[in-house]
Amino acid sequence: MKSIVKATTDGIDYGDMVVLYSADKFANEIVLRKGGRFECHSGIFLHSKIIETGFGKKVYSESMRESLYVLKPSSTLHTHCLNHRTQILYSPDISMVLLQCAMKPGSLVIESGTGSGSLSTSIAKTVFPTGHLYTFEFNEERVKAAQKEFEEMGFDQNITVTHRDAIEDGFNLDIAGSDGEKTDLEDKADAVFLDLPSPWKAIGHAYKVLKHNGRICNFSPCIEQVQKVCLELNDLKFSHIRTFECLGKPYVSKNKGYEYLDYSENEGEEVKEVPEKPKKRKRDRKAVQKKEDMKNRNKLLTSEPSFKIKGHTGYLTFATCNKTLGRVEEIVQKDQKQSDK
Amino acid sequence: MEAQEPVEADTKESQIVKKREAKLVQKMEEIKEMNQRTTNTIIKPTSTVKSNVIKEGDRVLLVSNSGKSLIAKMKPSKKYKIGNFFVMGEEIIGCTYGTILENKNKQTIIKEDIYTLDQDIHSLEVNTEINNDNREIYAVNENQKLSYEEIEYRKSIGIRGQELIDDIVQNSETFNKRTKFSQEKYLKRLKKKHLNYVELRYPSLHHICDFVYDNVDNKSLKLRHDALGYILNSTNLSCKSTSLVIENTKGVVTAGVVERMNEQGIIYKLSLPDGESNNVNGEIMHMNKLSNVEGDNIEFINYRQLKKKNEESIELRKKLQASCSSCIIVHDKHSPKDLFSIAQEFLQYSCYVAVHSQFMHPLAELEKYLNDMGLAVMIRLEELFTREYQVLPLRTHPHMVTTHSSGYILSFITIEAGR
Repeated sequence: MKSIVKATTDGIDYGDMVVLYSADKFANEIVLRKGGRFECHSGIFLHSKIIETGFGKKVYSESMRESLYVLKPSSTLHTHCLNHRTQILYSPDISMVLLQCAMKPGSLVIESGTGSGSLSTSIAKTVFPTGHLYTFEFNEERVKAAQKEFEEMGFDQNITVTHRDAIEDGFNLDIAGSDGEKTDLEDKADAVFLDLPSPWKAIGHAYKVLKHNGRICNFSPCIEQVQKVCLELNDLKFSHIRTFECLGKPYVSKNKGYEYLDYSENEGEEVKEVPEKPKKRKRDRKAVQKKEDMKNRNKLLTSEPSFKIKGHTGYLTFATCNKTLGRVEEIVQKDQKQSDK
Repeated sequence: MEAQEPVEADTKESQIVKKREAKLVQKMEEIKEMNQRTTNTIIKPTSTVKSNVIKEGDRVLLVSNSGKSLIAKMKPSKKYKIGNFFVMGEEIIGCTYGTILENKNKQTIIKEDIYTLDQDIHSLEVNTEINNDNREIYAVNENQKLSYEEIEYRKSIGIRGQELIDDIVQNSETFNKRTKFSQEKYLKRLKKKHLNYVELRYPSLHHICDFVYDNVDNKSLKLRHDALGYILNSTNLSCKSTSLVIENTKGVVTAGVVERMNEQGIIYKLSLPDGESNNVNGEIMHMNKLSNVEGDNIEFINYRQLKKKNEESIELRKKLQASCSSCIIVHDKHSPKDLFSIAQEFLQYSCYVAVHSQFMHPLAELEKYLNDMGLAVMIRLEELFTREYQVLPLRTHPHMVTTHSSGYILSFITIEAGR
């Protein structure tokens, strides 16, 4: 089984995906093939050599001049090195979506739109192996690219990419046709994720496919979109509507030293005077020692915020779907009364 | 001429306002239509609903409207107390998760009109004109005609909840002078104080994390939900991982790891010799108390046992040697650098590690150590900046009070040492 979540104690084999990482933070995902070779600005790397090397070690180029690290693939590394077809979600947002939507192995998740597949990969990794992700995208080119990528990562059994405008046609795959296999998704989804230009139009559709107590998440960069979404969610009796903004603030650690600032003007002369007066000499030695100490003390290990960071990605709105509240017996009775009518 | 200009501007503005209003009315109608469409298909006792019913022995998070909460295992004959709300287990068992229970006339009934704890207090009308302002409102005690004793008397003769709130509002002199937004705020405060209801929530990981963050004493490490999510995501956990967990968050992190690994794979939980985490059973019991997660695949390892030189511990060491594919360190009693050097020999190459600390400097030390020894790549020291927003028409802004920091997280991927 080739997959991003493969247990990697048994080493690498052909068909597996690995990440090649260079010291200048340049990462590439490749699938190993027999007789294959990887070419980049660092040189030529043979796939057979990568397999010999193993994870976490350096593989050398054919010229033996440059080297790259062989790393295990992961969803976080995928987010780092994927091809941007659209604006993507980054790790802080992704991790919040995964936790707040209570995704775990076995969950059934619906996503729209697929975009570059940054979040899709993370969801698929989390719901693997028994769960499933149904993802919708209205751009045909992106659908094809995403399908190819998911297959390479070994998620073809866990992700269904559908070419469809979810706002018009909804999320339910109950009609067989050009959309692919027929699957009734009504009342089945544990979570729905929306990243659309006008997400409030899709919430009614999302309501249909969500389970009772299922979670919905909307990602929108503009607060006006969020407002419309919240109104819509409230109208459909969603509860726990909470909106968050989450950003990562990276720091760089270093030893920071300052130059010694001395206020006395004729410091040099004072030191010369020292041998003449033994009593003072002791003090001055101390002073010199102090000065050195100060130099060392001033060089301290601290962390500095990175100069340029992402100032805004989007607002994440979460809510819980409520379909059947109360006691089960009463719900069943009500339902029967309705069907009798 | 000068006098006419503002009038013209006024009419233009009013036209725009009218257009907007018309649009909003149209929008509200659309929403109503949609509501009707969806409400027709609401009730359906499918199999998925059945899995959302509270059964005996389930753990339920009970949250009262005054903010008090409790996680409890359901027994029919047991009485649960949340703030001043009492409820029997048998009244909870059989309800679906998300149901809200209300105390009325010494009886527990299911609240139907309110779906959430905090939304009912806000009107979501969009075109609320701001007619009033606070120019004539003075902070005087006479504003409220009812005295404390009178309110207490009303309570004693059985006027409670909504009735009492209506009474208080009627006796407030300033209430009608307030703006609509201000009235809502006033009502919100009263409702929090005088209404009495409890919501039954499923103890999902994010609810547990919030519960622990808000409730457990200051002694335990504070881990906010965003940090927990980030740690779980950045360590590449999946159902096939072998992970090493060193934590003293009373089982919150372990519960998260167990949930992400679906009770498959292997979790090694390393306990260190310091009072609290020596009591392994207590900790796992605490974790079980919080969540419905079982965690049969956790293997407990005591650091002291590991250090011994008998055959058993040598074998254990051999078994653990370079076996873990992910590692989480969330511990505030020891320095991250020390903890990592303990864990180091058990990690595979290309192992995903996340270390959390409330302080930045200890993590910077670890980062320097990793850089100097060439032990890792993709080293990232990060702090998460998370803000929650109040989203209401014309009143959207970040929450006034928020928790400042969720600590710092150092995440990296281990490699073969040497440069």
